[in-house]
Amino acid sequence: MGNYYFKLAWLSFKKTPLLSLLMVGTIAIGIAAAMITITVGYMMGKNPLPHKSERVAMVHLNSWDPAEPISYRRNGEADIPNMLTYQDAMALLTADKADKHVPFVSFSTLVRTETQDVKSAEMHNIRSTSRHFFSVFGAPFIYGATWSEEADELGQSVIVLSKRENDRLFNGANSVGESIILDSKLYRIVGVIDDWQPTPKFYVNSFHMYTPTLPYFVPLESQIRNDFFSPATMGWYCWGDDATSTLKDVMSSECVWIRFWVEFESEAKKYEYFQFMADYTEEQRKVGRFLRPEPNRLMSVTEFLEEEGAITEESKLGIVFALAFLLACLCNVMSLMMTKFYGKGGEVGLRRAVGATKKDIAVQFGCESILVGLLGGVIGLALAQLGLSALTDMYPEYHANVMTMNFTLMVSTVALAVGTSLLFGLWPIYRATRIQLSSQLKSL
Amino acid sequence: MKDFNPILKTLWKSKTGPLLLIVQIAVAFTILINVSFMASSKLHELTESSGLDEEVLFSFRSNLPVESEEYVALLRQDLADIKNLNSVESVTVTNSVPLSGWGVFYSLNASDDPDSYIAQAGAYVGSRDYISTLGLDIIMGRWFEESEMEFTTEGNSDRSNSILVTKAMAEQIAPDDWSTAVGKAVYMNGRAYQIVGIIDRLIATWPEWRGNERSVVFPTYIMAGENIFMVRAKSGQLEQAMVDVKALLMQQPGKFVTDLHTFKYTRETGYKAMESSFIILAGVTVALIMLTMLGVFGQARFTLMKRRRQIGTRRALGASKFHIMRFYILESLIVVGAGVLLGSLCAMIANVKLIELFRQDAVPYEYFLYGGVGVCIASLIAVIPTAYNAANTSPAIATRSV
Amino acid sequence: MLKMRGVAKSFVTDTVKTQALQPFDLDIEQGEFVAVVGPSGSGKTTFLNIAGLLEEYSEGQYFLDDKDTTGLSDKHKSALRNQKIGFIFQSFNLIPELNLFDNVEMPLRYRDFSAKERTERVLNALEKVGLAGRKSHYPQQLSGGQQQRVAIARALAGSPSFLLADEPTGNLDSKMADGIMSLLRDINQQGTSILMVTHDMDQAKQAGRIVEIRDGHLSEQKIAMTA
Repeated sequence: MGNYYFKLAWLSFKKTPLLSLLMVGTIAIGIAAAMITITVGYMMGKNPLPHKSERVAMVHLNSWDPAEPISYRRNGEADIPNMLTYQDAMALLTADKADKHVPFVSFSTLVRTETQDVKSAEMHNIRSTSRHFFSVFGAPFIYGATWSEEADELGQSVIVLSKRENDRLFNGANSVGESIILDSKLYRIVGVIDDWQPTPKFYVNSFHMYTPTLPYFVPLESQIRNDFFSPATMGWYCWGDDATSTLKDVMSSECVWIRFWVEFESEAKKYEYFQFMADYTEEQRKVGRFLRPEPNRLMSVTEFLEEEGAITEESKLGIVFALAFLLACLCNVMSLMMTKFYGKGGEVGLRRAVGATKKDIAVQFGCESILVGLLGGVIGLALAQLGLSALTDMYPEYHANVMTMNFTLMVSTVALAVGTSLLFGLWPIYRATRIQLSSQLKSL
Repeated sequence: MKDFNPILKTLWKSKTGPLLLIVQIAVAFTILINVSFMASSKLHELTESSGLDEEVLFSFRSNLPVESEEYVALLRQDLADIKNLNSVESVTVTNSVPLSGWGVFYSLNASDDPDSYIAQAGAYVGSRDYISTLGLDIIMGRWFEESEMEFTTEGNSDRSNSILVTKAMAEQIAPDDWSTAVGKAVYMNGRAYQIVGIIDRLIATWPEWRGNERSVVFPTYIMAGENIFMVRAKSGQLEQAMVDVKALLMQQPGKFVTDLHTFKYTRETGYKAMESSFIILAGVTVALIMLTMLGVFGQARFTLMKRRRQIGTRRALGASKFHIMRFYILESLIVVGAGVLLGSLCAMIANVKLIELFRQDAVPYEYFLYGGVGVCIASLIAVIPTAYNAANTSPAIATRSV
Repeated sequence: MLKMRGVAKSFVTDTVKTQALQPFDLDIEQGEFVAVVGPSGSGKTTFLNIAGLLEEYSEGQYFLDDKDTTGLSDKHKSALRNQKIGFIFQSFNLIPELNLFDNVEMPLRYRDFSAKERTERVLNALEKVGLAGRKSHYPQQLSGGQQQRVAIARALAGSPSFLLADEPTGNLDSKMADGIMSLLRDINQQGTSILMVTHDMDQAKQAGRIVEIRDGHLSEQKIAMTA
């Protein structure tokens, strides 16, 4: 019987093509608008480390200027730095209270292979971190592995490449054991990671959460040994009168510039660690540091994303507006359906006369609403894809991952279209089943 | 308005259609008002002047491939060499390029108590030719004395406490009369500074920051091994100057020149997202108006379909085409008007919520007025063809059996 | 087969009560051909709607094949219409976007017939009206008379107890009308009862019985069998 009704729905669709296309088009546009914004919001809000987001946490220590807080949070409270000074980062590393530590900064320098000449070197941003970066944040290796503990401690000149850089410099071959030159320093390749783009890129601040991952990784200690310093591109905040002209200056200053993440084997250890941070702060107070009142923070991935606003206000606002827009579209569709079903009053009367029950009529028109919704959903899905790819071009600072629908979202798009069109068809359908039988039979 | 009562009665008799249209218009109007306001705010920001001579400026980042003790000397040499190029008018070193998205900001306070907070401002440092290179106007007070300006690699405890602020910042410091800000003291990180001059406009480095008209300029440039330069090319020689500067600096071994961009490029890149948002918001505005027109059009067709006979009867009884059209148009306007009124109410409530949740600005009242008039005009356009069609109903239809 | 006892219909609008049909009794037996005549506005249509279970009556009882229809639910009445009554309308009421087969099949869709049985019945019915060869055509490809034949096939397909025809020739020229009338007579002679509303006395006389409705009063008219 379903078949029959869908055949009728299709015939009816063809009978009034303009009206039908208007309905489908209106739903499609409304659905596309809603799903584009929902996709962006959903992808932005995704948990990038679902299996351990509560066991991976970022350390925020309040080492800031007693005169004034570093800034204010959205709710007006005084904020604390979300980066550490070099001396604090080293103190936490040395204390070794967490299972894995990932301090990181970045610098930019010229990169080339041994065979390339100086002129063809390219300027690149380098992630300077610990060997645990990859395992804690989930970056997969295709060749080799991360560097050794020794490399971290001694600051050996070893480097991990992204697949893209490996493709560019080594044509995708296994380059482990080869060397590349950063500025004038020779670095030995120990590993190549696969294409890797956590969405959101949760371990940096919100400004960079949707930008591509950096292409090179070296031990933090090697950056220091080789004196790489990019004051005009790295993120750092300073207070006080310390000199900041060289890396050495910054390392001994109160400037905060190192992001510091830790991983625990169990959540319980996280609370112990927080206590350790408090103890450390207390100790530092004795030597005149950490004089501000705001407490330290140990923020899990989810807490940090929430605090940083991983889902931008604009994308939240967009969802609200797009849903309202969809509502307006659906009202319009409902009105068109009333028109459509009203025009079919004669047919309803006839069908009722020859024995169709109200339910039969409701099912028939229900199928028609579903068909309209289905077509609207499919076209809406196509429009949404177009819209998302346009957005990718329009917002280059957002990685394309944010503008990509997964399978669930695609199915939801069509389901939303069918569901809403059926929902908004209920009243027109109800009205259609209520028509006065005898008055409709004079003409068709 | 003798049509008014019969219209209301007709509308009341079959409420669903008009009600749907009212809801649709109300929802559309709610979004329309807020979105169009956001669009025009963005447009305002997009078209705002940076205060710089954008056409002749470019910027780049370069290093000093020497020991830190020699930084100051080499930087001075680089600046002098660049300025000597034929294609270059002047050059300055700076901590950050306006609209580039990377830089420093400070909270300005009226006293050393953090509770006396005035506003945040973007912070710039430049060398001697900063003002003339960027093409800024000092509208009050003065530029820094030669003695106040310095390049340093040392800590900054004894640096000059003179600063310049932009007019927008001065308006925050001295709300009654911005020109009196000259000579006033402000506090940053607990330290006092004295305002010696006011710059007309100098946009801060974050394109999306709404306070980006507020900037502060400091005289002490703290050196490092990497520096950002802004160069003013001689008129019409921008591209040549970029080539010349790079060629000049690359003669030094170990030197790099990177992020070499015209200021126009920096501006376009910085505003790309905002421009995209503007395009989307403007598109949504147009789509909403079209959706409303479509709704009005559909509703009019629907009533026409239901009322053919009734209209024929009216025509047979002597109603002129004009009467029919007037009836139709008035009817639509009443529905649209109701939608707009309801929509205005919702828009106000939504706006209050948006101010609360998303820190939006309040929508000015003109938007409701112009928005309402705009929607009514769009609806008129949508209804006229159908009204005309209705008016041309043959009176004979009344006598024909259906 | 059709038995009405004291059936009446009145409308109440605002404060005025209009008696559309005065109480009447009527019996129609299996195989009868009954014509209902009367001027416009006399209550003919109301009578027909009541007989076709399309409209409620305000008083009395109506038995269809000995089953009391008073107060039946909409669902039951729909089933009764589907199984017992075949409708033929003045304006044919074919659905333009369906072909002849689908049009005739339509009432069968609301009954539990297998696809095979539906096909058989449709082809049979089309056969009876002489249009079996054109089952894939669309209504607008046919003349008015042919369209009415399709409508008759549709009415017959469900093997109803009786056909209810409302001015079946009203939209046709006299030649086509004659054809339809003779078809209806044939069908009647094969045993299907027919209740036909008409204002054409000549046609009415072709029926076995004439019932006249005037100002809401229903009365039996004796006719001389001239044919």
